[in-house]
Amino acid sequence: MDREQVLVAVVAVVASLALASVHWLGLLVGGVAVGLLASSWPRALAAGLGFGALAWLAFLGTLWRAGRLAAYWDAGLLLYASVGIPLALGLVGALSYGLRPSGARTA
Amino acid sequence: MDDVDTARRGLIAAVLGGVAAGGFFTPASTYLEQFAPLSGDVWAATTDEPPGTVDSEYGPATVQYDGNRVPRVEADDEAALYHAVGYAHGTDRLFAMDLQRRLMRGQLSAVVGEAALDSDEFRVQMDFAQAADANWGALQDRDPEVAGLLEAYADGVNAAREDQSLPPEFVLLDYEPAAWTPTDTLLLQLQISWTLTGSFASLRRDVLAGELGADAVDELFPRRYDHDSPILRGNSGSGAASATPGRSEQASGTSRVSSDFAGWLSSFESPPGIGSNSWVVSGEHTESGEPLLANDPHLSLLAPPVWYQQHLDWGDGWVRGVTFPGVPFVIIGENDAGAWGFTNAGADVLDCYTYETDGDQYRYGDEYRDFETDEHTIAVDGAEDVTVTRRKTVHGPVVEREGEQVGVAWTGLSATATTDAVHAMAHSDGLEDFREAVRDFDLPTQCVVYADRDGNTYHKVTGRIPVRHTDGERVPGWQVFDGSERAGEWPGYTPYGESSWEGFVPFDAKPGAVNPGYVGTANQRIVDDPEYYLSEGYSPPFRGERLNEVLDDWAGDGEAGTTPGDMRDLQRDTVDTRARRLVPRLLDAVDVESAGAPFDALEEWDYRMDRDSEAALAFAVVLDAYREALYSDGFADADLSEDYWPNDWVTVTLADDAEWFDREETPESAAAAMRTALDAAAARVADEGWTTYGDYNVVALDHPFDQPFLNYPRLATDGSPASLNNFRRDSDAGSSWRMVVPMADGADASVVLPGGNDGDPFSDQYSDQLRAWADGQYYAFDREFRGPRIEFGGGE
Repeated sequence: MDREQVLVAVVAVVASLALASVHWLGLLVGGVAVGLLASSWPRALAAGLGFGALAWLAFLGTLWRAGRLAAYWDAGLLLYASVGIPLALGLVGALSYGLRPSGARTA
Repeated sequence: MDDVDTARRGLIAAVLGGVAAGGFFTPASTYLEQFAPLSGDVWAATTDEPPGTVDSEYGPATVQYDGNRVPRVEADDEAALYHAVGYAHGTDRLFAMDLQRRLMRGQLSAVVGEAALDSDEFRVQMDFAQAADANWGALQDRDPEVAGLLEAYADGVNAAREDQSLPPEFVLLDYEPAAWTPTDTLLLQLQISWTLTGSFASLRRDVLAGELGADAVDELFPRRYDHDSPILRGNSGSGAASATPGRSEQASGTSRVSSDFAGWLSSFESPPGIGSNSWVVSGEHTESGEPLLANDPHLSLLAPPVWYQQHLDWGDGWVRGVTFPGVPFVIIGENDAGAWGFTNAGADVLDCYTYETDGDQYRYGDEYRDFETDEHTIAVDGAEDVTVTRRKTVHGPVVEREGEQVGVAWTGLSATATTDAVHAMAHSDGLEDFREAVRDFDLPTQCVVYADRDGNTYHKVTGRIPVRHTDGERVPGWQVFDGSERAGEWPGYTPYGESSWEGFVPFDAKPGAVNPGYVGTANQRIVDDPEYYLSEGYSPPFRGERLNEVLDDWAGDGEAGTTPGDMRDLQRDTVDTRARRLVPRLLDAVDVESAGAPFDALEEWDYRMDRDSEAALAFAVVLDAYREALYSDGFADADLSEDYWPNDWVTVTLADDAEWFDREETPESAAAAMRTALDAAAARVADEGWTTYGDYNVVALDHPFDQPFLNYPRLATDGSPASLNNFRRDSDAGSSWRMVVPMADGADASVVLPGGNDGDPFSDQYSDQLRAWADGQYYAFDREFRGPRIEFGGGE
């Protein structure tokens, strides 16, 4: 990726996280964005998972700031759901790699 | 290839679109909206902090929390003060408040489904909501100032409800709470009063007499326990005949209701273990020369706790202590003039009535009257609505189920002045002021203890106690009355209205003591020979006799003088006087040596229920098995469930020559039952792998939803249902607030809650005091408030 592509990716990720902070759709949109910008299927899927993980880490930050992190680790199903949702939506979103015409893909 | 490419892209687009659409239009949308990280409503609910400033029409006030989420609320104006208290309650405990309100209104099924329908039907029939309405109307007329404070409080709760995200439980149940009202506050006062005094003991006794016979009932359910540790000793009273124990007159097989019906009604009483300890020691017996006061009310232990700790400061006065979230005023605590606490008095303030009926009418004396009838619809989540026909008589509500019915009279169904009294106590200025407030404390019947900074001490039985009349004669309330014959009437009582209370036990005739040297109350018999009938049956005296024993020791030790540390030691005292009675008999009857550990430890035991004790474990499991051996078959033969079994006083004192052992279905003797019990207990200990009492005596306090992330962590603790350090593992009841308050300047007052002050399950203060509570430790009542701060004011 050249510098311009990196910049686009960063902006897309930040914008998606901003959207995700008000609606879950942002998690899917983030996956779509990184998928479209990826250079191969493996990279696309990895980027989708990575975006989901990044969203989850950002979420941990909000819990930590509010002093809610300790109890979160004991939250059982809520914990699993909050981990699973961003990873799943990020991964599904990254299928967007396949939306690009064959000629535009390098895999 | 273009076609393949297009098809693939179309397929992927369809998948992405399908996932997005599914997230909006399928049940998955609920989970995404609730649990998605960053945006999920559950996370917003727990990370949302109250704003720094709040507009308030009531004027300036501040709320500032300490490290345990205990707020200090400051305001010069009282309405501003209680508006801010409402805001704190609405911030920290809104879900618990709404749940209790729904419980009492019979609206639980609307949010949790059919599981709560029985409870809703009972409470709708009792019509607690109308009683609260009557209370609110009366309060507005009687004391507009206090009524105004309730309105300011309700506005504060609603401001918090509107300013902030709703607590996570509302998100999980997917509903929004209605606005809080002053009537809801009065409804919550009724809830705790019902918990403490709502008893269908007369009905159960009637069933027992019918099923087991009068002799067995007198033997297994004595109306008076043979002990010499009443609260007020050396009090002979005037000895009215109605106060003496009487024989059950019910003939076998003639109970007026079925055991199922009485059992159904009893399921709406509080769980076993509701009671309290409190005592006050005058300066004559203390090291400082100033009084000391201790109180620990025994209520259901829940996550979060039933109590909310708060400190209030209004410029020229202050009060700190605990209240029930939903009630603005400190109920137990101390102020700038004194300190006070409560124990349940065990007075009989509920009667049941049967009627001859004819369609929609019931006979009342010489005439037939119409039942006052209305229909009430109960909404049920996930099922059809249920319509309840609510009926009332001159005595009060009629509760019915499957064709059986009784009328119920309960003092809580009339308007009371308790709200005024609780407010006046919190703001009282010494003994005389406090005594005036106690006069208005109509409900529930309690034993209050008080000490002030001028060196006074005080004890009094509070609450309205009916004097029953049949044909103009005073009669005791330990029976089911024939309502059609106008038996057991309560002169001066108006259900769902304002009572004159003129026919009730006069205030001055209720037991009490001004400036006693010391007095200990633990729900035992109040006086041996009261002027009026007070109670159908007090708690067994296990805690009371231990309390009196230690208080007597302190008083006899003239040199040292009692200290706050001594008071705390007594509050966490684990001596179990059940064991004192049963273990010597057990050692005579069985060979504990050959039973091995932990049972062999019983031979050298100090009867202390400590978590590291093998003997305490042995006693606890043998007692469980002994109850089973004594009662299981005999009661099952009479179609009576475990809920009807006698209490532990009878269990540990039932002699070998008791008639109970003459029955075919019962053990041949107490000793035989002990042998059976020891075998069963040994098997249980082996199965469970327990080695000490702490393996058995585990504090497992659960949230009403019983989800792992909402429940409290499990901790071993000391104490038993019969020790002053009070914990009942089988029903999760026990010391719901421990408080030791010295009246000497600068002395160390101490308190602890079984859990935390914050109702948010993700908060660090959700359960931060639990371990200290389980370990018998305390926090200083004096504390520093340096946490989050909310400023009120600036509103129109």
